[in-house]
Amino acid sequence: MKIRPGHREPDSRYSSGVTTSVPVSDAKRLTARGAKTRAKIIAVAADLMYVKGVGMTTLDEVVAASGVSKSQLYHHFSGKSMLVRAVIEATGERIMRREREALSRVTTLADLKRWRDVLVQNNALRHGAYGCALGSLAADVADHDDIARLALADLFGEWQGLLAEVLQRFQHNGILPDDVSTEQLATGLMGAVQGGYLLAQTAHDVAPMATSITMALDYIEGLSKQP
Amino acid sequence: MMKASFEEVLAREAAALAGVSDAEGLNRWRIGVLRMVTDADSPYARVLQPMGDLQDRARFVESWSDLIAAALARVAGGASNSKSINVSQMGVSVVAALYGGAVLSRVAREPSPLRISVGLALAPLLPADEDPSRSSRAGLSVQ
Repeated sequence: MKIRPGHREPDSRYSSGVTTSVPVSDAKRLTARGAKTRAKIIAVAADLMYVKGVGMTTLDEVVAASGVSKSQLYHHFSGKSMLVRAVIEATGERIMRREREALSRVTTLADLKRWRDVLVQNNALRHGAYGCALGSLAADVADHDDIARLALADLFGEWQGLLAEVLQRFQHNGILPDDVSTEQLATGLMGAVQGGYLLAQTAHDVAPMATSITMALDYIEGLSKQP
Repeated sequence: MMKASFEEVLAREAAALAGVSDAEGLNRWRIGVLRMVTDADSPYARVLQPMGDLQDRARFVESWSDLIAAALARVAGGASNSKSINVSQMGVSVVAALYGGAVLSRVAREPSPLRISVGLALAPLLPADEDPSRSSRAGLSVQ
């Protein structure tokens, strides 16, 4: 089994002792109508938390914006923490589906630059105002909810794993030398992506995001040209 | 609170980066800034969280990037094979790596993603073969 960055044993100084075998959300066996209501609550909560942040989003606002009753919300979620975990699960599924699709087709440096362009241009539609949906959730919950943090660590690990697979294909095709650590490059590239999103959010401009990812890709390209 | 942290970090960085003029100095700065960022009680850990007034944060990011770029220009000026490096863009990418790496390290509860991210951003001027503590050709060892 390939080791992904998010699946490494954490530094013992930080270890929480909590494992990801704990259910992330309290999804129940639902009727079709119940599943539809639950999905609607999660979608509305995800939008509100993306725009306002987790801390500034109240359950009353989720009730008002989704058009469900408070009792319906509490039927599906025992509290805000469980709703946040469900939002992380749904957001993670959406982003990983998008990234699996996009990165599975990357076989050249030009493809990787096109992947960067799609990320930057999609963020430009909102002037970069809200950042990465996963990164924003991470910034909001990492210090407050260990189960949510571990779910996010798994998702970032999966994303980095997809990037590492691209770089391993580059090695296999002779684009990158064999002695380069693809896992470390993937982690550094993910740091450039997440930092780029945060700088774009701060500047309300995607230019620093484009710069951050481009500098990382330029370094990777430079490695490809070394003898 | 955040405004005071922004000002404190900029004052410390102005002093620390003023002494950086070669790869050795840049590496010392790298080690020092990573130590500060991974100390949860330091103002560095606070300013790398997306908090505080957006305009204050934007000014802070711009000032820090400029300070780093000025130091990188001095390092690049004395280094061979550095003519193609855009130090202004590299300054932005180093700050981005600090922010992005800090998010990944907080989620993973371990410091290596931050160190690797900053290592990648500095690699054009701080390649692994100039730093014996880093063994990977990618220049991204977690040492």
